[in-house]
Amino acid sequence: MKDTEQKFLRDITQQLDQSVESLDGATRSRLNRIRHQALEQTSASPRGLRNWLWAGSAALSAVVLALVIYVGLPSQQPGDLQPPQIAGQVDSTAPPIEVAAIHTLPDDLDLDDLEILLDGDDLEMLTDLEFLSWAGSQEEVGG
Amino acid sequence: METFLASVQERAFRTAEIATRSRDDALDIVQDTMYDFVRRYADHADDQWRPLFFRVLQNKIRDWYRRTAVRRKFGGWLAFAFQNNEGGRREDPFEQVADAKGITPADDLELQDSLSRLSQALENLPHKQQQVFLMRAWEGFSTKETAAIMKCSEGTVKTHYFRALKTLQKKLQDYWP
Repeated sequence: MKDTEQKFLRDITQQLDQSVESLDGATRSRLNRIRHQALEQTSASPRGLRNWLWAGSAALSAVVLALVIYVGLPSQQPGDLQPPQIAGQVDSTAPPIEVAAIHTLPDDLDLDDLEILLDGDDLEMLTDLEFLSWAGSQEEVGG
Repeated sequence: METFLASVQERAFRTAEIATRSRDDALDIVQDTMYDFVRRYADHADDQWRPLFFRVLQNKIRDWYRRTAVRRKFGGWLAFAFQNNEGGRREDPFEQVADAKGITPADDLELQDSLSRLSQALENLPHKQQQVFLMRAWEGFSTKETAAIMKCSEGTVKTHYFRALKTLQKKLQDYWP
């Protein structure tokens, strides 16, 4: 990272810190009230009942998910062998063809890459030399 | 938990205020964030609290953006219909209390001037760039942590952060060369 960039970031964070320190009394007081109210809700709620509700809903979700998977399983998986079946042209001597697995993404395609490919702006950035050089310097400093 | 919340509440408020440009909306967002955070994550290890808290905060800011977008579409006439004739807002007695830190009016003016320039520059950034910048530069989260907080990829964090940085440098270059 360049020195000028570091200094710029330092200046900005100092300003933001000062903006927090200079918050008015009314806002601080309101924030304190909000904090106390938020903390009171946990002490007021029956924790045991809440945990039981969580456990119950988790178990129910697991059962529903298992049912959905069981019922929704296709009879043929990608990779299964299947003879060609064209109406009126069943050729029992034809070699079996593989059910296409083209619906699935290639194994080596990272989700990050996919997001970049779907976002036109990000794709544009990949050809921006200034960005690439900056990104390289970020990697070096471990960002 | 109380110490942790006290340590982040004002920074969370400023982050929300920059996003919404409204003190009241920012306070509402911090309130929702604290309630949700305490309810969902009080049992988690305390070293996980900070990223989780900011993740909840970002969710609340995103919800606010969605609501505001809908309100902008349909709410013009509704706002008129429900307008309070007396201005609507009650005076908060704390606003009349004098500053206890002894900041002189001249100091305050200078600080407010530089803060307003920075706030304006930040507020004018596109939402995602703005929040990625605040998480990375101000809160000090890594690219990976910011990606988890903002629910996007590390590549997206890098591009948004770079763009925000360049825009801010350009806008504030006369002030902070």
